[in-house]
Amino acid sequence: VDVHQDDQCELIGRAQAGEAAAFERLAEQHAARLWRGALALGRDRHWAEDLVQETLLEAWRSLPRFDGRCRFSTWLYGILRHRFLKGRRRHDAARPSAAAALEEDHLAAWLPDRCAEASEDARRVRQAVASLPEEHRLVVELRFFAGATLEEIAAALDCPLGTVKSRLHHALEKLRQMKLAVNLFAPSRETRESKP
Amino acid sequence: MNDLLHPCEVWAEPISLAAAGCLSPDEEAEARRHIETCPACRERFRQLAEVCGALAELRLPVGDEELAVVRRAASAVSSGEARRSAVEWIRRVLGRRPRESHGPVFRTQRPFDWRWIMRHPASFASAAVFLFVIGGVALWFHGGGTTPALADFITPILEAKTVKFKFVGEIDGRITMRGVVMVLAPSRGRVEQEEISTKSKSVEITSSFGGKSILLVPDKKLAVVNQPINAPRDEAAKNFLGVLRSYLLDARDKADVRREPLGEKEIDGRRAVGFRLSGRGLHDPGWVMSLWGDPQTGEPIRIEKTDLMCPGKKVTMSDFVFNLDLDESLFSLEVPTGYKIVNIQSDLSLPNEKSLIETFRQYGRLSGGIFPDTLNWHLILLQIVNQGPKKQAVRPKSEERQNVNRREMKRGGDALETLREKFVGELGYRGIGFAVDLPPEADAHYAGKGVKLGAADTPIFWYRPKDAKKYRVIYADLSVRESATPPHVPNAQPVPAPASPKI
Repeated sequence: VDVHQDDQCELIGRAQAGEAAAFERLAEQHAARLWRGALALGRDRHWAEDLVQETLLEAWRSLPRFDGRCRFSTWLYGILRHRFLKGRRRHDAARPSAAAALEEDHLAAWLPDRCAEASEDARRVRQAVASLPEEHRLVVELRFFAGATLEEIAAALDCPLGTVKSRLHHALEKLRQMKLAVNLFAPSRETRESKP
Repeated sequence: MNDLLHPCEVWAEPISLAAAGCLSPDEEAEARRHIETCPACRERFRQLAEVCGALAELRLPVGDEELAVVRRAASAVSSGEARRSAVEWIRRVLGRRPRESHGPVFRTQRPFDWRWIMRHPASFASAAVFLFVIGGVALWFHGGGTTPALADFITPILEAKTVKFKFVGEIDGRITMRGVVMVLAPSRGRVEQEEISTKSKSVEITSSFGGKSILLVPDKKLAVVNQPINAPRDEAAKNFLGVLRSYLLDARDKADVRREPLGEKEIDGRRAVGFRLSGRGLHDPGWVMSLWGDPQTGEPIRIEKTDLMCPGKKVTMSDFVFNLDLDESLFSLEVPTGYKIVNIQSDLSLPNEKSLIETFRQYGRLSGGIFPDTLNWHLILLQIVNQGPKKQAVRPKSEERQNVNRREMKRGGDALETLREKFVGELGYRGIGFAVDLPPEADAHYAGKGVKLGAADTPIFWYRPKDAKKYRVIYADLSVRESATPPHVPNAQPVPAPASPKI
């Protein structure tokens, strides 16, 4: 267990005792991961903000019940999943479907503006991911777009770790087949033509 | 592609996970040992590594802006910032961009008091005003969207024992009524109102949502006693605070609203901060609300609200007073002596397609066999009530209508009057309510303008039920057929109307 882990355990203990600064420090440590997870699940920047707020509020209130049996980040992802599912029905109508994303590259729309200029290659990859069945797509998005660990993904999707591994394997295999079959990952024509 | 101990199939998943960087060091070392000895798996690993490399390049960026969101949220949660006044919180979130989404779900008890509406067709019925205010006050404290401190914002409302405020109702910018609303926690309400053009005054007293209410018209010595049926089974939803809690939770968990800052201005000599909220919900086809409050105290100064059910109508609430002394006798449901009592029962169940067909049918009977020009309830009311039904207008041609007319003739001249009263009080409202409550994805349209009741093969309304692939099409003979595609009718009106009313 590294120093960071010790530091985190201490922070959790202080936060459980009601020390606001410790909780804020914990949130700071997990900010990027939490934000990415919220955005990957919500696919909407505003909803991601709400998910972050709601997750942290619930975490603060539930912190006394955190028993350390899993990593704090995994626990946070579990709360994030809970908040996501609570609001999902409401937001689903407004969220682009994977099919729509495949056709019109809506996925770019839920990325920050600075990603809007993503290359044609990136667009192809996103489209390939969007074409996956949802259970496979979510695992890929959480793993690669959000940078979540398998344990965090399991918490976020409320399924066993083995299931996450299996889904990730099958999702990657499908993407590999796409790469071979339809060359989705091939460099775009523009890219190729621009090369000397 | 094999070794004796581990067929390559066994290595498929570990190799995928290794490429994704999801194995422990020991697991990965073991997988790599196999990869080094198996050309086929080595090639597969190389391809997977390329895939994973391309995916990894798409990791969502997290910059200062995103980190700041998390920091602010954590700080707000732990420091108790959320417990500060609603206005402070509202100001904090005003910097956020508005979003496109659905609005809070209102549990509305619509006004079914036909006699009151008959006399005041241009009015907001008291129950509607009452509910507008609940929505308004709730949103005020709630902040109109998701908040980490919802429970904290509820507290001031739950602790308020009484509320009193003034309201003014307008139609297309013309003041049509005004009055005072009083609420005695947990569930009792009193509305004293005056219809401007007739100077007719009335008092409505409600015991609870879905419960008994009385409407007193002193000039006429008339008391309308309403005992609703099909009220929500949830007891909590029947009282003021229960509805309020339900509303707040719905607003937090089931819907959110569009928020736009309106800046600051002076209202009645006080500096006010304002913002505009809009949304729609299951029982509420759409609404727009402007909220102005005191940034110092966090209390509302003025709330203006319109809803899509009656475009052009607006109610403005002001002069809010909390926790004042209100005499219990103001909320008595006993009818004063000397009043003529009329008993009615309003139906609080959710309307459905049959309700709409019944609305069309009864409207046709009242109008002489035509359909409304539009599904604007306000305009329908004006046509039915102000202009009056064409009693001697077009004779019904269908056998059914002839039978209906014969039955009405037997009952005497009051039959049509009774039907009109029932239509205005409940039948009409429920059907129109069903139509305008449909969500945008239902793709509902109305094409009844100028169509005669009974016309064959003439679609007048269509929509796609939730999760259905086919449209339900109502024809002018009030038959219903399903169709894979919507009818092509030029000038069909979207329902509800797409434009939001402006405040």
